[in-house]
Amino acid sequence: MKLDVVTPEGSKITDMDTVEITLPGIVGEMGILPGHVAMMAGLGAGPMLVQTDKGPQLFAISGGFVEVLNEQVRVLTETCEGFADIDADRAREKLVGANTNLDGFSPADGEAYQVALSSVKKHETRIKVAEDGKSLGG
Amino acid sequence: MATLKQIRRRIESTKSTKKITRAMKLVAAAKLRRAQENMERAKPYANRIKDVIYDLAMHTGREEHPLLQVRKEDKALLIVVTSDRGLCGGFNSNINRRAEKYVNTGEGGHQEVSLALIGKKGRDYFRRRDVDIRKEYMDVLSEPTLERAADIGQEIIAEYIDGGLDAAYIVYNEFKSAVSQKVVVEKLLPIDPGDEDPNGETDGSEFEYEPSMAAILESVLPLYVNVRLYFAVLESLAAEMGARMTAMENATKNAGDMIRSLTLKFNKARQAAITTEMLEIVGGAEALK
Repeated sequence: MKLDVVTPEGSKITDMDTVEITLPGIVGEMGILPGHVAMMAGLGAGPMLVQTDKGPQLFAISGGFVEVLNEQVRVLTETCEGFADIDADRAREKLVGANTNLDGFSPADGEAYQVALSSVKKHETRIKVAEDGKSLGG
Repeated sequence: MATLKQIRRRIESTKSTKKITRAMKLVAAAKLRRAQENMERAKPYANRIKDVIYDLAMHTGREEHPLLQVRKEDKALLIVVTSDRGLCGGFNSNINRRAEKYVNTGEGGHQEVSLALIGKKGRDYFRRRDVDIRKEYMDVLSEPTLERAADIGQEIIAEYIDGGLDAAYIVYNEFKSAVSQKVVVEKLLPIDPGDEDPNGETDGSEFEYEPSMAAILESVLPLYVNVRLYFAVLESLAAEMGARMTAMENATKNAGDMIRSLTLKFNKARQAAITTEMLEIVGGAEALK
């Protein structure tokens, strides 16, 4: 099963051989195994775990969608970072900033609240990926 | 006939003009490289989403979402992408004239065409003309991002869904190569998924949608519109830098030619002055005999 990830910043992963992919779906985590039926799914912000022959790899992705067709998994997302690309300390600083920002809104603010919330989520994911990725030994 | 002093002054000023145009050419070349890199980076994303739109339209049918539905195109929006700065040859006037022709000749068969302008040169051109300017976006070109393009896309989509618009077209300079640009008019809305399968992979099998087909269409279709807008802006920027580079190269060459011909004129005038002076001296000496 091949994996492609593209972002507006360019191709991040091209034709990677995988045996299992776990993605942050909108309604919850979803796993994709070889032989999966054709599918199109929306993605939220969260970690993407890719199992390859050489071991697992972890990435932080945010939003977008995935298309599964003929043993090809194509992910389109706003950002995709491997754990090595993430500076955990800076991500923590940014999380503090995002949380402070979130405090300024309440769920009644609608879209602005959602934007602030997704920013918090994004940085939480990045920190988690940076830490877990290391322990995976990738 | 110009005096020696006047000619010398003209040579000096042409020389400094040449220095400026040469510097501008070098700057444009550097910016062109960056603009091309931006374009190359965004390309896989733009192409991929096009594939997805095709697959989606194949499997769902065009009537499933208003952005895909074909309706009578009475009220059209023409998005005109020009540049913020001049000195880039025919870049802006080609675009403006093409857009004006589109509006005046009624070539799309619309009842009314309004304009959305990206770039100061288009704004300056159309403000002085009798056209319906619906929107002006002046802060996009200095720092093009997908977010900014998405803001514009959202506005246009909202009006389209609302019924204020029946179609949207975009006219911009397509980047062919560093030395050639082509003005193109492309349909943005309703989305045309194309007739040809871009990756040749779509078979009859049904897609599974998560959470639902409607939700996927609702997020993918606007994204496609935004990405196309974004990509058109990136292309236009690269094309602008290419056009400026060519224009400045020509200007530098012309300045060189002018310096040469002025120098020739200067030398001729100088020799004529010397000859006159010598004749006067000889004449004076003759008279004293």
